[in-house]
Amino acid sequence: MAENVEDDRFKSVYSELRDMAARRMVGQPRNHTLSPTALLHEAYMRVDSGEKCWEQDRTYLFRAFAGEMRRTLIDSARRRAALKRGGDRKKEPLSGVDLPASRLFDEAELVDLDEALEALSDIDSRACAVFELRCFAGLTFREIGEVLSLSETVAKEEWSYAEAWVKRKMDPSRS
Amino acid sequence: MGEAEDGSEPVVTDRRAHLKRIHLQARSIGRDERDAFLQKECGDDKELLEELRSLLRYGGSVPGDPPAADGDTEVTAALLSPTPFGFRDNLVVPNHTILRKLGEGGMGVVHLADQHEPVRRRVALKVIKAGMDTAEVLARFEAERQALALMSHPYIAQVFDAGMTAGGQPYFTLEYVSGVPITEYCEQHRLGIEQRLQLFRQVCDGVQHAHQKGIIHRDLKPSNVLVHTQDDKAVPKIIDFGIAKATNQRLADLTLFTGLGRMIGTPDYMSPEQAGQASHDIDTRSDVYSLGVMLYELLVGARPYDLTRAGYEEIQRIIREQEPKRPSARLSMLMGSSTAAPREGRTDTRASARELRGDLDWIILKALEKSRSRRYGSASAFGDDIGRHLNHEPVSAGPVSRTYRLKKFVRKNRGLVTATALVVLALSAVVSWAVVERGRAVAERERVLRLSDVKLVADYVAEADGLFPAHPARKQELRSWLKKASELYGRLPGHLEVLAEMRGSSLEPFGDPVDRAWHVETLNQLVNDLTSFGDLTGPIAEVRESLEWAETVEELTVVGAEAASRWRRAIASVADKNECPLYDGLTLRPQLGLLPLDRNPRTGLWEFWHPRTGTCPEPDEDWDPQLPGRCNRWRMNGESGLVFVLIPAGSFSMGAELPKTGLTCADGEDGASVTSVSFGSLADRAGVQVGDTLRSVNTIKTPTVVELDSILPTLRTGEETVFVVLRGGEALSLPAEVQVGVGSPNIDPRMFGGRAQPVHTVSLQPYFLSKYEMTQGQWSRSPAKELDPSYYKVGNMHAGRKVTAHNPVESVTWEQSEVTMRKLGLSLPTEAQWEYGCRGQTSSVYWSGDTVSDLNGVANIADSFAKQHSPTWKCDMDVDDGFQVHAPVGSFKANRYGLHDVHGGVWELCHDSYASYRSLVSGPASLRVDDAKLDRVRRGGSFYGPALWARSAHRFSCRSTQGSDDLGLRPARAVQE
Repeated sequence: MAENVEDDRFKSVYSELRDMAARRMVGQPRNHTLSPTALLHEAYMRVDSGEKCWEQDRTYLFRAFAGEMRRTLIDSARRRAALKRGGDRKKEPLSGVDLPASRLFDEAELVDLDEALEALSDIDSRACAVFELRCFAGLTFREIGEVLSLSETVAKEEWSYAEAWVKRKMDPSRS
Repeated sequence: MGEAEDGSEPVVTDRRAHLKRIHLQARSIGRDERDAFLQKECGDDKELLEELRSLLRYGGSVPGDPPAADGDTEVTAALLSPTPFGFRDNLVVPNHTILRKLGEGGMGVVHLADQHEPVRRRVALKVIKAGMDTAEVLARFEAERQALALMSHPYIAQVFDAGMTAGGQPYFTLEYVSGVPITEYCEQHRLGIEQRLQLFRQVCDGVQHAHQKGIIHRDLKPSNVLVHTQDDKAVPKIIDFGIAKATNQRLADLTLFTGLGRMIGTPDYMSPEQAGQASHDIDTRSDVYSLGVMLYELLVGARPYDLTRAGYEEIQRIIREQEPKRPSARLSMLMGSSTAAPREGRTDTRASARELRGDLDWIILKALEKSRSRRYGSASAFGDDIGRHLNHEPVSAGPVSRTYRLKKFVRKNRGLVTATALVVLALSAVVSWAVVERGRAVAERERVLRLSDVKLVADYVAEADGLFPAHPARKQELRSWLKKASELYGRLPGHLEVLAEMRGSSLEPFGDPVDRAWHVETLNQLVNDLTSFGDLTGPIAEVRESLEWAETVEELTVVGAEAASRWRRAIASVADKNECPLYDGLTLRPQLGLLPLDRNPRTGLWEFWHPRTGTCPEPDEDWDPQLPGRCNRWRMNGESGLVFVLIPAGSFSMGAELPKTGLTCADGEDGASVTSVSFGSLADRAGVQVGDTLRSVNTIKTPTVVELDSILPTLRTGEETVFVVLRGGEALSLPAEVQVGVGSPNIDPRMFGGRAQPVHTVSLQPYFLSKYEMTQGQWSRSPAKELDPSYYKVGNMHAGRKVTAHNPVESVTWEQSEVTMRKLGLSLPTEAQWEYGCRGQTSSVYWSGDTVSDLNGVANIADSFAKQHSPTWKCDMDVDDGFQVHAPVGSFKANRYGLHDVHGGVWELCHDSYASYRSLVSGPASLRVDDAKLDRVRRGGSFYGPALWARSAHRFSCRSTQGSDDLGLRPARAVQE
């Protein structure tokens, strides 16, 4: 089916989703912030009508959200890395986000992670998708399975492989 | 979704899948056996083997492996643990490194963790199981935090903090204690009865300390009392203070049976008052009860009741009604029974029935009394009595006394025992005793009577609640309630006097000192309860006001000369089809509690004043519906009461749908062949004909018979859609503009999701709907005596605008609103009533038009003005309403029914639950309530939201117990026939 239709429909859902995200994270003085995933879920539940057409969007929505989170994190890491030019890239935990990504990688590593993921998506796009959903959208394996139409076990296999592959790729001691 | 695109040969993909499978399996195998496994799986494939070996150097471990030193692998382990859909338990906790799992209980999982900030320390981190409302848990904890900080006692483990995990679950951090549950400790160390009692006294000390700081534990049980050995001495640490309260644990919550019928958590230590419905009514003596169960278990080796096989109601009944067996009797039974064979070492260390008989029996039974007032008044009184027993002094708990019997009689016959009966009983008791006892018996009778007021207060409060809304028919009930309540309140000085006497005197007119202690405490509670019972916002004041209203409302709004003439005029006007065509000859009766104002010449609808909520609004002489600032016909101020509009009966199309192209096609050779074009549709207006072959729509080439209609959701009004068709061998480009409402009503191109779908017809009877959102002033004058909960308070300045008492009330919850409405004899509108009123006979996106800029002068939303002051808000820059937060009601134009602020302002609560329209189309359309569902509907958007949320058909949900600073209400009222 034509990309545009998907794209348009996605945009309308996604814009509201982002509105909500922005409001939830910065606006409410008394609300405790939600993790991006909790937010995504909440938004998704709200827009989900339980109809078939939205079932199809689900994959797209989650993947796009994960991609967006990845870009956001990595861009901010890039900017900070640029500020601290001079080879003094310190290991700092990511601030402000609570995602598996920020537990597995520190800020300095994120830029390299981006490159590694690009390489991974070239050779194995499914493993890369699983990695993104896990790391940047914080989905559970069962959810990943549902989103990508995989079994939970396969989702775990993909994750296990992708994580090891990416880490090996990023290992500076391996040329 | 693309498959692995790493080569054209499927073999490569298969091989990688194989590799991944082995890789995951290998990770769960210990390092020692891993290589053997790999070699077996890979066979001759050396390349595969090398790749796996290489990858495995970078992988982590999976659950079941011993925790590795490497921090990353631990995280990976956590990440890999499977969790149920929707709830994440991946242990990502801000500011903490999770080390390992310590244990799992009914409420959640406890982990050992390192906290990084503000202090670096090792903590126990307790993640509360999914299913609790995180915000609520945290809010309750926040309320308790100060008190918790005051606690400092060697036997109490400190609670440091609460927060939320990345998965959205609440967690608590506590001082890490390395001990074992008290029961286990006693077994392991084979403590004798005296050591057990000494240890238990220390626990009482700790609990007493907390009680003095105003903290009740609410969940005392052996697993919350950890004991470790320090300098050869057993030292207890009580954990989890304040957590049960924050998580509002009740029996009902514990009784979420798992699939196997097993209960999560334990009700064994729960006091009768906690097992009841009104579980908020608990005090320090509930902890005394739990301590009693614990001591029972420590000495007998079993808990007082066997609840393992009982269902929820049975458990409730047992805890509340069944008297526990005497510890000594239970012990002899257990010793004698073969099934409960003594555990190793038991005979040497555990008490024998003989040792328990007497003092210890009575001490434990006193702590386990069903009625709080008969238990020890405090944990220290409990501990002291144990001390007395250890010192061979007489204990305060004793065998059944006359007092006890008398009280027991009263308790069993609460409904029957009147004061007279008591006198008779007391006198008959007196007869059976020596004459010298007479004075004491009379004194005791008086005490019982005095304390029976405790129950009366609770009863009267509940009764008062049932007397709302005020109605002339209830005058008599209200009067008699006031009479007895005043009598009860009148006894306050007497209680105070006795209390002062008891506190001051060292005389012992009441027998034993412990008995006296609880008496003082109960009396003290009674004095407090009675004081608030009679104060300015208490039930007496409330009911007195109600009575006044019940006495005057009829005169004021129905039978008085002024009222009668107003109603005559209104009734005649409403029934007159020429004057009020919208009402279609409606026969109206005078409505008690409302007073007709006049017929709004613009809308043709009658408006009514609701005097219970405030003064009659004055008409604005310079009213000009077109002029901003003069668009409200009533001069509203903080004192003004509600104004209701009588909304006429009618049918309307509820909900919204996406625009449709109006085309149906069949697959043809060159594209979709058009088989029909519906009249007035987009395609029709473009000029598409039956028989054309569709080549493209906008940029979509040659659509097959797919959902053509899904092309349109994001098109806006006025935007163009271009159909390219092949007709007679010629390609034609046919443009048409998207127009809302053409072809069918309730078209909303920006609608998404299905919550507003499908559009369906709803018929409504006439009803009253408030012209404005309820104001802060009106809320504070309501009989619910709720303090104005609004976040933006009167007098506060926001972006140069002052908040007034006629700004809308907000931060209310659905539950509060329902109570307030009930007490006022009003209701929240149903969702259909709301949308019908909001649309005011329009079928457009907003009542004022289809585009965002149509909200100018109409609604207070997140706009360009708000953006200047709150740059982080997502705002619609096409609108400038001049307000950052909510505006005084009626600041913007009214709709066709004369209702203000239906779009924007504050969200407006509806009565209904947030159900799908699809589920109701067959059911009654005007009201949909599924009480099992907590989510309720809010409508109309707010100053905090974009135009998108303010649309007439837009539905949003909220929890019935949650408020927010942009959530308010617009009251409704049924027409009385």
